[in-house]
Amino acid sequence: MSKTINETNDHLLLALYKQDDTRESAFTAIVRKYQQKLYWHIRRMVVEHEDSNDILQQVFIKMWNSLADFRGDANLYTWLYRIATNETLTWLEKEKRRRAVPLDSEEGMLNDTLAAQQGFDANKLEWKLQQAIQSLPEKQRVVFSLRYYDEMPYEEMAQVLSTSEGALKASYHHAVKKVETFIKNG
Amino acid sequence: MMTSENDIINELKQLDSPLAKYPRTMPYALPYGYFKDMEQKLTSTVTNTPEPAGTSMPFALPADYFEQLPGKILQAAKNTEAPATTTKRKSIWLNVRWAAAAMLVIAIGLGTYRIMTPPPTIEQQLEEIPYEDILAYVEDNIEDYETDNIVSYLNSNTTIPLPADNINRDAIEYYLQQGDQ
Repeated sequence: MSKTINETNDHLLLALYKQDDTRESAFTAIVRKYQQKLYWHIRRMVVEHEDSNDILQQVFIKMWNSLADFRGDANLYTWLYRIATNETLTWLEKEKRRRAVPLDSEEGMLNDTLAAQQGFDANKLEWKLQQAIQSLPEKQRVVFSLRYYDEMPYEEMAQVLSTSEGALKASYHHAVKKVETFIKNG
Repeated sequence: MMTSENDIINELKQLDSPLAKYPRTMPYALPYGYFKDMEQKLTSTVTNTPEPAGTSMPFALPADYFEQLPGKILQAAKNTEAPATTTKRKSIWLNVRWAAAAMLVIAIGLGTYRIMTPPPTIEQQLEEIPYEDILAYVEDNIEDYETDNIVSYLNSNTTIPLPADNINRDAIEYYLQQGDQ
């Protein structure tokens, strides 16, 4: 689906949401359209399904509560990603405090959680990639995840993370190198 | 501008990164039907409406329950018929016992009354008999022997023993008056 059609559909959904008699059906349509993308974006960051589920629900509940005031200056897609990213980073901060993790060793905080996942196999490439991602700093982890897995353009990423495109591109390239090194040294 | 998969691959190739060849699949497991349930759950949550329960029952049922049920009901019905006769007999016997108990109480009551009430004395019995009847009886039944005894008392010089000194004068006069009539 082209970006134009996608944006048109999102504008239609927003218009339907603003009307009382079509609000619920519009909400359901939005959830159906974006739940999988948002879920995996969250899970790549927090690893555990239950935590991902909690955060995802929180994202859509926030959307429900504030969608009526959404001005439409950003498209629905980037707006939802921004909510999901902020909720995820907030959750990670709380988790760090709960685990009493030192500020200079936040990377790898979820290594144990990752190793406990069903079907985990450190010898398989897809699991190694997840371990490599967990070794990245949080913000860099987000950039890598949005670009490598969600194929998000830097222009939209800039709206999600409120960072310049150049900074994001540099961050992504550094992240790629770190992941390569991690897998190579495996 | 939408990024295509090729754009991502090309970018990685420009970085001379082996990641360009890696599969970008997610290895994490997911509960079955997770995303399908999510829509309904979220809609219920934000609209404060309960999720539809559906019409299927979540309860477990013993195997062959409905097949065995008619036979079990029939057997139970047969078992409940027998106690009907026993119940009737029990009812009659219960009435008999109540009647016997009532009779016993009455008998005890009567017996207690008789014990507590003393029989009448001879004087009380005599008072109930008319005087004329007593006099007639004495005249009809006094024996000659007894007459002779009375006469012998009169003829002898022996002092006629008087009754006790406390004979009432009025009683003597009454006796004498009765003789004149």
